[in-house]
Amino acid sequence: MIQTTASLAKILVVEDEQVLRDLYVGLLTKEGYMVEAAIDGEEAYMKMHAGGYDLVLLDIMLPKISGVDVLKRLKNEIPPDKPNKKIILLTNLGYDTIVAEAVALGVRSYILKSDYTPDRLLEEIESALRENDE
Amino acid sequence: MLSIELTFIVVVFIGNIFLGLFTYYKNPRSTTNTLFFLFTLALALYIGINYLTLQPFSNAVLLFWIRMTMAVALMINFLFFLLVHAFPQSTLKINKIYYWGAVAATYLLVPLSQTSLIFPSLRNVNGTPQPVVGQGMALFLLHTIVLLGSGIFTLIRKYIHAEGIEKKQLKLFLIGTFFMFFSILISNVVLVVIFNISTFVGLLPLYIFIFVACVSYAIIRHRFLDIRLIVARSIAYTLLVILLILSYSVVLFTISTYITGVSIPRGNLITSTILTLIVAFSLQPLRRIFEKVTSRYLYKDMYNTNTLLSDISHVIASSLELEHLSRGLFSILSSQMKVSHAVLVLTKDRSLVALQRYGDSGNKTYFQEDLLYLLEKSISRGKENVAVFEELPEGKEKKTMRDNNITLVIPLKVKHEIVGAIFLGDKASGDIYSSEDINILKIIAPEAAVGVKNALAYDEIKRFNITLREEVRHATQKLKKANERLKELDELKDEFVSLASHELRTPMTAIKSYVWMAMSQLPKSTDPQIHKYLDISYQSTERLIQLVNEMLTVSRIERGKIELNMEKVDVNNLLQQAYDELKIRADEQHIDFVLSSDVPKLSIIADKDKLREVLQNIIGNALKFTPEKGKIMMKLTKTDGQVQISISDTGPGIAKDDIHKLFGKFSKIDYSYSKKANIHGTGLGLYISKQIISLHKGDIIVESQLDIGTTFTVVLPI
Repeated sequence: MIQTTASLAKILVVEDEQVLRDLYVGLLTKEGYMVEAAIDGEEAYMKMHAGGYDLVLLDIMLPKISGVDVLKRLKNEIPPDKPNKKIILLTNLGYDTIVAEAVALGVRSYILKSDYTPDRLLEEIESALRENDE
Repeated sequence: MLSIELTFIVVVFIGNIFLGLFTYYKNPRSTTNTLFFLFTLALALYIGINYLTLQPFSNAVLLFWIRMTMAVALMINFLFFLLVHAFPQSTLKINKIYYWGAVAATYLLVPLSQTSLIFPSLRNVNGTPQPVVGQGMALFLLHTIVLLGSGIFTLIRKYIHAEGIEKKQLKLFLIGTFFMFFSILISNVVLVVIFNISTFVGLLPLYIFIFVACVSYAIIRHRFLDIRLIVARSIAYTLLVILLILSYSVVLFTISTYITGVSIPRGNLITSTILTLIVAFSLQPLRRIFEKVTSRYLYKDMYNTNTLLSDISHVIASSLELEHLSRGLFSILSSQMKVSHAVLVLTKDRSLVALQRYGDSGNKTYFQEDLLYLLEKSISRGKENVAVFEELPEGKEKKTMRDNNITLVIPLKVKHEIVGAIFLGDKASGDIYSSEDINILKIIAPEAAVGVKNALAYDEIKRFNITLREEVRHATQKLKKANERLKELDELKDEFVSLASHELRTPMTAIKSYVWMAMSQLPKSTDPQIHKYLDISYQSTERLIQLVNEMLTVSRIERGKIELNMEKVDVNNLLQQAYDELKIRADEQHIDFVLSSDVPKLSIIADKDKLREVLQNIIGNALKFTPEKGKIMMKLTKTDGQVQISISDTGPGIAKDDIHKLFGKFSKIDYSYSKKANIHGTGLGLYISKQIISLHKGDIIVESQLDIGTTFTVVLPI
């Protein structure tokens, strides 16, 4: 594993499915990232509003507030106290329109959970964090 | 001078007698008609006797004739009194006291007038004999004033209460009688009795002429006493007779005098003239010519028969709708035949089903029973079923027609079925319907009946059409609703597929990820069987995920929701990428994978990612079915307006009958094929590929030979 400054990055995992939340949190913690988790849209909004994450992995289908609505509220209502550097959509929903909408709201990229093996996911996260440093 | 005066007297005399005779023969049972006949006869007599009083007879003879005029005058008073009370009824309704008073006074005075009571003697004034007025004159004047005065008064009262045509008739009758009696009273009574002036007595025919003229006018214009048709025809025939006699005499005279030089005896001339008349009368065309000629003068507003008939035919032929037909018919009848108003009645099984009225018939309410009664009556006459008011005898039918202001009833018959009737009012011009009019209407009737029947049939078809349209609309609405429901369901299905795939992907992601982690963290020393188990688990999860993805894609394609992201695509580059991605797998399977291109540089407008998916799918299939040491060739060629990307393999090939099944959903054509495959597919790949290429307006062509191999060619427009 390449140890970069990115490894110390602060990451928020927004995932309502416990199995997957545990998977991602475990995977990222093991990589040495500072990982926090949110289990629904409301919590995600609160945490993202407080801000300060180097990366947010945001699901779309979430209880209470959907991922896209979270993004909308952050953009259109009160901006985060501290900015979140990168947001990646991590979802199993395959709607082109939703992706396009999310990109318009400032999302870096879109990952279909089922298509990614853990190593490819980590690669994607690392490359996103590297962009932050540049 | 004398001869002109005499001619005038004769004309008025004959005119009076004729008027009376016509009226009497028209309906001898009617009291009005009988009284009118007697009244005119008395007037004629009065003229005659009055003429005699002016002749140079001896005093004794003169006195007789003068006394006679008094008797006739008394009769005139009496008859006028009765006539006025009877008019226009066929029975006399009068107060018995008045009646017997008048009868008694008249019967008493008539014999007295022949005595010396009224005119005792004559005396010579300036050489002309003048009657000496006796004491009885007062009685005569009383008789005259009471009967004539009350008569005129009754007439005025009747006039005030009368309506419509009767009012017009009464007006003329009133004017005629009033002027006549007033003039007579002044010149023949007042001047003679009081001022001893007999100079204007000779003008009597003039006064009576006023009466005759007024009554005649009322007959012609306002159907007074309903004898217009007879009067008109009589005048026509009289003219015919006179003309024939004249022309025949002239011709015969000319021949006898100038050509043969032999004068024909007068007796012979008369005999042959009468014979000619008989011939002429039996000659229908000649009669018709005369009728036409007289009609032209008697009735204005003549029309061209042919034009009218052709116009009517045109309307009947060109009208599909009843409204249009009846309006068209009336429009022609009113403009050409001057029919003032008409009612079209449609019947079914002898009961009224529709009534349409045209023209100005006032706000008259037509009673169904009346119209049906008239129709029944007309039909009952058989062939000559057109009822003409003037030609009908007095009775219920005539009364019904008069009450409804109907002059003609024309039943409409198709074969034996009665479809309705046309009721015509009188002519707006005031003329009567000539026999020509009636003949034409008889010709029109069957044609119009067929037209009406057709229009009714059309109406029925139209109604049926409307019902049908309504039903179709209803059904369409139902279908629309069903369609909307289906659309809703389809959307629900789409939503379901999308949600289901999402839900399926979550556990699959977990399995995939954990299996992967297990695989990657498993020590090399572990039983290879475990490695194999995990590998199979991983491959199966992958396949499951692909299946879900493809099902989602199919659902979106079928909903037309898939959108192409069109951009400029370098085809060589695209092929190279696909080649690079699958080359490793080909190498692993020991398959020779070759890429060649005949095209140096070529760009097309397409969705790059989706095209790559298609190529991956086709190459993937080739890899699945090609055995070890086999060969896969990917080749790019170009023809006019098209690029062809062909992928050939040396697989088992596909039977001809199976080729068309390739692109169906879940169509793994035969188990034997898939058995040959190393890796199982989802069965949706080619279906999706075909749809994507179709969206690019291209095609996928398959050529195959069993045991030799298969070539898939993707054809795309440039």
